[in-house]
Amino acid sequence: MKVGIVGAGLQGRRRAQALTREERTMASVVSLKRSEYDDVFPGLAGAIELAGPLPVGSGDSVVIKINMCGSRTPETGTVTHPAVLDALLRYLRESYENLTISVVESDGTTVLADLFIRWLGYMPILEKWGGRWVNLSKQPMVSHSIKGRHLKEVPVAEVFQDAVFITVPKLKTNLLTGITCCLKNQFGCIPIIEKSVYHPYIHDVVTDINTVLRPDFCIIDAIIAMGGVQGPGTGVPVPFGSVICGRDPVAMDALGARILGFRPGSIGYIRKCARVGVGSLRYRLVGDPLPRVDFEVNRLEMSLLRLGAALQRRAQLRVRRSW
Amino acid sequence: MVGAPSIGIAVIGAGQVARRGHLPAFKAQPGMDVLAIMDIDAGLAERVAAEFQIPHWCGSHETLLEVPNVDLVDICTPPQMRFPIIEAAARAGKHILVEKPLATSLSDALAIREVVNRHGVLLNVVTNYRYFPAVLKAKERIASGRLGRIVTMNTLVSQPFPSDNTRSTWFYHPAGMLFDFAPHAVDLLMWLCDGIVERVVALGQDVTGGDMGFTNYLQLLMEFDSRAIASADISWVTGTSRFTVDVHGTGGHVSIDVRNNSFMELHGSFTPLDDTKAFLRRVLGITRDVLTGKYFQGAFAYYPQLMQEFIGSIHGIRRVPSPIEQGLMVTAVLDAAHQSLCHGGTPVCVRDLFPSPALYEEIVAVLRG
Repeated sequence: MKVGIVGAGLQGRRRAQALTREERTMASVVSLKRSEYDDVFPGLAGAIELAGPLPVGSGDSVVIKINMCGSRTPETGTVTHPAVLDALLRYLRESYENLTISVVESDGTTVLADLFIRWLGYMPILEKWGGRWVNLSKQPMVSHSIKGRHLKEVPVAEVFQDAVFITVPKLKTNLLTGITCCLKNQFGCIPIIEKSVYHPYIHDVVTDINTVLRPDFCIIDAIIAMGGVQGPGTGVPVPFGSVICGRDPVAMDALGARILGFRPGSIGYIRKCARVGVGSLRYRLVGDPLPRVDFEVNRLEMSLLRLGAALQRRAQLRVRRSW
Repeated sequence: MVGAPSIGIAVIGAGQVARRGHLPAFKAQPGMDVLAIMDIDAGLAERVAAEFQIPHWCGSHETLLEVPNVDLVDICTPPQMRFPIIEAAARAGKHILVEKPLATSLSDALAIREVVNRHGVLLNVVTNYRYFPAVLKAKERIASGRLGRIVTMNTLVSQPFPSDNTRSTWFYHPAGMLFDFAPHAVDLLMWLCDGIVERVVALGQDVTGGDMGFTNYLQLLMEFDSRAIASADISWVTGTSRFTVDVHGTGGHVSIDVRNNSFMELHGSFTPLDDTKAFLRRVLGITRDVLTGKYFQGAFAYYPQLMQEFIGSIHGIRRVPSPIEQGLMVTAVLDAAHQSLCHGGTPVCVRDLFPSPALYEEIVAVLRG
C-alpha cells in the first residue's frame, strides 16, 4: 500500500483507505516484543513480522517519521532512539532491495530539526544505511483541500509522494492531549514552524492530518517511554522495554493510551480519528505479554498543570493589558 | 521621581526578552516613554511597534539613534552584536541599559567600558534576578551580619535547552552556555556576598559526547577575595527549571529558591518547627504569586524595579544599580571559566586576564566604591 498524495489522487486514495463501518468494529492486530536499546533488532524484526508484513516492495520509496520534538537526549524518552532507527533501517535494507529511504521531521516552535538531527546521534545511522535526512519545513509542498474539522488545507511535503509511510513515535504522556503516540506524530508533518497556533484545536488538527497522512505502518519506540505529568518534553523516563508494531494507528494509540492508564475514548484525537475512519479503537495484542509498569501519571496533577498553563496565558495577557 | 522629566527610550532588539520583559516594564510605568524600536528583522520591529504603540520602528540602530528625544537606549540583542551598538549609542550621548552579559569576552567588556567612560554616559547591565523579594531578603540578612562571615555558597542553575524558548542559535558555540544564564548566577553570588572572584576552575561536558560540539553542563568553582568559596552547577540538559542559591556563613545559612521566590534561614539545628514554618511560608508565597500572576511572569516581573532604579540614577538621585564594572567583572569571571574549560579545569586567576594589574585594581576599587 503506497501513499498517493498528488492532487485529488491523495484524497481519493485516503477516502478509499478509510475503514468501513464494519472494519471499524474489527480488532486490528498490534504486536509487542520485549527489547532493549543495546540490541533492538531481534525485537523489532519480531514485532514487524507479527504485525506485518511491511507494505514495502523492493525499489519503493520509504518515508520514516521519527519523533524529535526537543533537544533532549534519547535516554530521556523524549525522542525516537537512534538505536530503533538503526534497527529499522537494517531491517529495511536486509529485507528489500533498492529502497529510497527518507527520515523526516519538521522545524517547530521548539524544534531546530537540522541541528537536532546532528546533535542527537541520527546522522551516523543515516550514513551507515544510506538514508537521507529531510527537513519537512524546507520541502516543496503540495496543498490538499479537505473538509476537515479544523483544517481546510493540509500542506504535504513532496517526499511523501508515492512513498510508503512508516511512523516511528515514542509512547509518552502529553500535558495537552493526555498521551502522544502514533497519531500525534503526524502533527510533526505540518511544515509550519509555529505549530503551537494549532494547540487550542489540537484534537481536530491531529484528526485532520491523519485523514491525509495516515501511516502505512507504525512502530512505537516504547523501550524507554515517558510517564509523569510533564510530557512530551520533560516527563519521567520509564523503562518499558518494548517495541510495538501495527498497521492501524488508532488501534496502536488505543493500546498506548491503555498502557499509560487512559481510556482510549477519553483522548479526543483517538476518538475522533476512529470516528472518521482512520482506524479502529479495538485491537488484538499478539507477541509478548504487556509488561506491568507504573507510569506515574497523576491525572489530577495533570489537570492542575493544564489550569496553571491557562493561568499563565491569562497573566501574560493581563501584563499586556496593564498599560 | 515625581516631577522628574520623562525619559525617552529606544529599544534595540524586538525578541522575547524585549516583548515579555522590557517593553511591558517600560509601558507600565510613568516617566518612561518608549519612542522607537529597532530589529534587524524590520518586519518584527513593525509588528512589535504596533503591539506596544511605539511611534517609530526601523531596521538599523543608526536610524534609531536619529530619533529625537531619545535619552536611553535599551539593548536586547544577542551579546555578540552589542559592541558596535553600545559604541554608537555612547557616541550619540545616550545612556545605555544592556541585557546580560555585558560582553562575551573581557577584552570586549573593557572596550565597552572605555567607550562609555569616554562619552560620559551611564550604563547598567540587567540583573533582574536581584529583585526577587526572596533574594532581597537574603541580601539584607547577609549584609546585616546575621550569617556571620560567608564561607561557602552553592548555586544550582538548571535551565531548559535554549531551543525550548527561542529559535535563535547564537547560544550554540563553545562558550555559549557560560553566557546564557550563568551571568545571573555569578552576579548574584558576587552581589550577595559583596565579593570579588579571584580564581576560577571550570569543568564541563557535552552530553552527546561531542555531537553538539559545545559544553552543555558544567560546574564552576570560584574563590573570592574574602576567601569564601562558591560552586555553580549549570546545566541545559536535565529538563528541569531550577535556580537555587545556598549561602553558608559562620553564623548561619540561607537557602533561596529564586524561581519560587522562597527564602529559608537556619541557625543551629533544623527543627521540625523550622521545617513547618518554611513549608508554610513557601506554600503561602507561591499561592500569593500564582494568584497575582507574578509566578507566571517569573523574572520578567522584576524588570520594573530595575528600570526605576536605573532611571533614578539617570536623574542623579541614586547610584547605578549594576554599573559597567559589575558587568565587566562578571564577564571576566566567565571568560576565566571558559579558559579553564578549554584547559581541562586548570585554575585561572581573574586578575591575570586583565591587560594590567593597575586596571584590575581600578575596577575593584570602583566596585568597592
